[in-house]
Amino acid sequence: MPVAATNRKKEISVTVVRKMRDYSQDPFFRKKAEKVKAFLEKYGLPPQTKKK
Amino acid sequence: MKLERYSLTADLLHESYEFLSEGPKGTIRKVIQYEEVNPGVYNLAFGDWDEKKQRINDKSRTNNEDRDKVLATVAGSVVLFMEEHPDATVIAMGETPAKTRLYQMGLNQNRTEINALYNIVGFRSGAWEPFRDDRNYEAFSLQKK
Repeated sequence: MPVAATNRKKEISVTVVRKMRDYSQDPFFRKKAEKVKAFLEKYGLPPQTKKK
Repeated sequence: MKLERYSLTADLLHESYEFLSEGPKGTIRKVIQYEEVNPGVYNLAFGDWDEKKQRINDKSRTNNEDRDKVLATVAGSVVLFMEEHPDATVIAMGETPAKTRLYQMGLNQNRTEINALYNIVGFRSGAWEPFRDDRNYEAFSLQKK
């Protein structure tokens, strides 16, 4: 529920920064993303995603 | 039980997170990345940052004796990510069965809290199914309730 989510969020220490290294282009993450894309193409999206 | 976590640093989009693992092997920067692989569907991946090579070390097994704290921190990033992307679906799939089991351990450790907030399904034997603790999965998916 939203209240639980808000309380939970407050327990997690996070600092938001304007500039962070762009990790999205890291070869490891690119490879992982491509692997998952291929997986989803082969087996389909999880069922709850299809409900939307 | 309240799990100990590392402090996270997030980018403005809440799609990249960093934290510093501390243990016998020293201080290791870990990176969690949420990559959109389908509209509204994000892949969760994390790894160790190699300062010398300036890239994620895809072969690393840190063994910094803080596994539970690392898993709790990754789970915490899911909560933060979902707060910023409430309609997202998050997929978690390790590059090896061992890494996928690690994700499952993280889910199980944080199960009560995760169940209250998210619908979870697991992938095994070629199909998605409602998540069960007693089964080993090849991938997981979470979506906010």
